Amino acid sequence: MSAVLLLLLAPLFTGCLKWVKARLQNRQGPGPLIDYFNLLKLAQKSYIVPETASAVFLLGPSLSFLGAVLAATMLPVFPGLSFTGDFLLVLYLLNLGRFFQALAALDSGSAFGGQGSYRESLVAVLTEPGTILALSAVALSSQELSLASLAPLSAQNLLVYALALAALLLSLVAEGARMPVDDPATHLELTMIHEAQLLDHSGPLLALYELASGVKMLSYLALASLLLPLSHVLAFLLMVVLGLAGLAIIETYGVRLRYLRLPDLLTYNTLAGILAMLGVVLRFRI
Amino acid sequence: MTLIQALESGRPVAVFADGENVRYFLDTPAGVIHLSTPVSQWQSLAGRFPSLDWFERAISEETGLIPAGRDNLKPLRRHDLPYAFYRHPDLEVHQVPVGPVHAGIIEPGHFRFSVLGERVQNLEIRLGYQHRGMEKLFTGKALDQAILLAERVGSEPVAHALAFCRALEAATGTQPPRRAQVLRLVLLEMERIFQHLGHLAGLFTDIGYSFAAVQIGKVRALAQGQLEKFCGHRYGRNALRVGGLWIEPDLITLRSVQDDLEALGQEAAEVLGYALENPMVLDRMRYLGEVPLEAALELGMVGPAARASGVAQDLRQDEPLCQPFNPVVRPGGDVLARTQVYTEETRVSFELIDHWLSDLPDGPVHSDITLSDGEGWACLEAARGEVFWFVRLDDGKVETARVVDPSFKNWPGLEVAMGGEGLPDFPLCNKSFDLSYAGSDL
Repeated sequence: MSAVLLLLLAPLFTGCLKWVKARLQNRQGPGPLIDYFNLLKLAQKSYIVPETASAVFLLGPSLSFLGAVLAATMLPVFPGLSFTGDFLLVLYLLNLGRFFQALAALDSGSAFGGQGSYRESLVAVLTEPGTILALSAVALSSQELSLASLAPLSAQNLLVYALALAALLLSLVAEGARMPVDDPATHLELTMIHEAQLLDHSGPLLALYELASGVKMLSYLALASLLLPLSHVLAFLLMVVLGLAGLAIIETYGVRLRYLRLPDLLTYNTLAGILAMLGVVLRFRI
Repeated sequence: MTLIQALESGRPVAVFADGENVRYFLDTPAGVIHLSTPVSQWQSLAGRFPSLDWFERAISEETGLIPAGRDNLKPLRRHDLPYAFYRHPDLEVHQVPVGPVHAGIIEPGHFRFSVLGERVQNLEIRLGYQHRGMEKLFTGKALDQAILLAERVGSEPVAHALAFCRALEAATGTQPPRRAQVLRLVLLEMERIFQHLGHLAGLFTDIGYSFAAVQIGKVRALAQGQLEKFCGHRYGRNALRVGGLWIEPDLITLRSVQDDLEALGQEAAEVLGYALENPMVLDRMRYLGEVPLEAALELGMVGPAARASGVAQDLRQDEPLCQPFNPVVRPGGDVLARTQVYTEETRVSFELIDHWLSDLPDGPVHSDITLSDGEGWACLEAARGEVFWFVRLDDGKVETARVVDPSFKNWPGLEVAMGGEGLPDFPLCNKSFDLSYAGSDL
């Protein structure tokens, strides 16, 4: 159920983001449904496989998509699959997609594929500890190790939850390849991180990547929404709207960080994770 | 003054092979002087004066001659000749080839980076993908046709057409009426405005500051609309002719252009004012892509890129109608300095236009020319820097045309600017020079 919702919602989310951004910039812009049409268009096209590429080239988009969808099934937006430690599986399913995406980009044999792969791997390495620590801290403070049964927000866990929320939102920006970490709108290969990996994929392969990236962003928003003191569906929808507004504002009025400065920003992610964990272990209270 | 003396005190404006001679036009403190050397005695001076490097390569691949004392001559525009890229001695350094086909819709050029991790150790630029034998196309063309070609040489139609006209007017001894002279400069400044605003919008796009990029882009488009209102073409084509102008804007148009430009000038100033105070913008631009003053002088750089490195050189200083004129100069030579020069020059251009249009001389906009055999040259300050034209007439038709686009002199500056910078910062750095590929490739 959650996976179906996220899949259907992903193109609307990215389309709305483009639409809101256009309006904030005083542009007309395409309508919010544009990404449904985009995906439809891409799905109908043929695709090109570089001469140097092997089967891994096709595995990249497929597993990226599969990983994102499987992760989404375990998100408790609607009651579904749930077991002890599922939050770790969710995170690593999302990372599985990235692993194969990096391999596929390397497989394409172009200089930019390799460049995108090592840059995105660096971003992943910098983001992962913060995300894991934050979610683990939340799970530990709930004394329940599954996403569906996290403790509701209360005075006891307010600090831990706030830190975890900060870490998750930073992860969303980094993992979703959005500003100020990456610029999804750029056409300049040398500045690309995530997009450089997709340059050689076309047609339905590109559509899979686009859809996977939308689902991934929504998954992070869903994870963050679990920390809000509302029913899961309501919290998720609220988080999506807030995420949309936040991203649109950052991407309109913000400036992208220099690539070599990324560690400065993502340190805060790890720091928030560590503090949340300390909060649990040392039982900080407000 | 000998060639060496002139080069020591100045920089080359244009160097080209002309029949049995290699001709040098050099900018010296005494003004632009003209020297020539017989081809048989042509000596390489690029080792001592790096500003001659590209000129020597261009002449050599065109004529097949090799200047005495030069061994590492690489072709500049031709791709049918062997070419060896620089190889860094350190094996840890790997090469990243970029272009000539890019992910966006931009002109083709090949950039070969030697990088250690993300740090650029060396950048080698290879152009010529748009070499279309532009100069040769002029041979045998009547003036009406030739000026159409001149407008299509580089990215600045008005500047090229005006320099072409002035070269021919010098050759034939024609003096355009005063009204035409002023209106031509109005067109040139309008071109500078939309070009500079285009560079600035591009800079903001490259750092992902989409709000400022879109607002500046809008002002740029509206400024081009004023150009269209003024002369019937958004890029200012088909307005100039040898001896004056084709267009004769009426009073209502002139007033309307003046008023609209004033409003656009204020809007541009407002957006640029807050955009260049944004700390994140400053963080991206400051200390990036530095070209020291010495390097700018050594490479003979021109235009805003040179002025951002502290070279106080703007050909409008010699333009009688621009007086009094102070060039916009910034120290530092980084991306921020170049951005500030574009910003400030845009403001100056709006002021100049307003000044000229408020007090426009009356009279005709064209004087007849008497075609005579002979040659003439002219150079003027376009948005990107110094445009040079040399034209020789024979039997009422163009016999030889020679062009030097400002980008030709500034590309080597980009190689210097990228030394030690991060690879992901290249596009921003490149944009801050805003070089024309078509203009250099000819």
